[in-house]
Amino acid sequence: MSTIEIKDKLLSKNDQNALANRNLFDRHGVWCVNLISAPGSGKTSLIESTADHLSGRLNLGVLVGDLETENDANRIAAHGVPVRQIITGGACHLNARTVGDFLVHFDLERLDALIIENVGNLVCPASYYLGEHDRVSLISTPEGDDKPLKYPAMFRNASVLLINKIDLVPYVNCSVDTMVRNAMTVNPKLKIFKMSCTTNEGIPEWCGWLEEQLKK
Amino acid sequence: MHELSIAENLLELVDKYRAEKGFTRCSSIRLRIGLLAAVDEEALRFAVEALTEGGPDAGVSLEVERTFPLARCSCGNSFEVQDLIYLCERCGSTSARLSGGDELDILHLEVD
Repeated sequence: MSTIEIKDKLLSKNDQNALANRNLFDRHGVWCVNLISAPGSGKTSLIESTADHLSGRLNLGVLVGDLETENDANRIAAHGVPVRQIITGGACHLNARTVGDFLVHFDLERLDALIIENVGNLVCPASYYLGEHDRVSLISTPEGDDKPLKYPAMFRNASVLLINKIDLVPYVNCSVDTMVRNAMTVNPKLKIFKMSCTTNEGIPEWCGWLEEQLKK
Repeated sequence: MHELSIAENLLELVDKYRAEKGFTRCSSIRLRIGLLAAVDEEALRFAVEALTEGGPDAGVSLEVERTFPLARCSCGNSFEVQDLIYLCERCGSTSARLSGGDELDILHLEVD
């Protein structure tokens, strides 16, 4: 019996693959966003609204992860952006290697930004860096204003928080101010946008932020 | 549910070291897992047990060292974060920065 000292990161393989993705994005001048939320918060609706708003302004690509079906990819394709669907077949998050495998399907030289719609899940995707420049967390008001405190990992490493479905506030038990305060407790550096994909409120501001990042 | 994929990554690392160091069986793995890594220890043990069954590492034991989030305040004070509130007891500031608590590290292997 002997002991082998290691001191390695458990997900070092994923981190290496993520770094390769990141290098590829940087080489082609593509700004990558990893979009994370619970199921049903409005990730696909957000991407549809974003694609419409940015149409003719920048070239967007979308990579969508789901356990099953190509429903989301079909919805997004109708908005005229190149899209690919990753069917994880049960896996609850995307990993960097799978994302890397799918990047060959995009003409990266033609893209300005790539949004990766992660699998709807507020726990597992937090541990897996995909090579993104920014992690964007999305929550919707019906989920409750204490969500950032219940799932801190998802907000701690994000640079942006999008609060969706603010048009539903009169009908649900949620205070947007409390939600913002809770999010800032977990991560004081968060950039926060309040929006509704139904009324389009907040979409121009969020898209403006995205366009700003491309100039960096 | 991501414990299964973390277990797969862990056992891939063990295999990498097996090829490098030439051992036959790994009997124990020591890990450091921070509270903020959101890893359920029981689910991880279950996944490792299931994945090693029938192989050379069957019955491998996991020793897990848990770490808690630490915050460092601009006044120099370091403290353990309770309930995600970063309030510095020394100066009252809430702008302390988080240091640690999200580790997901493999520390050493016991091998035969």
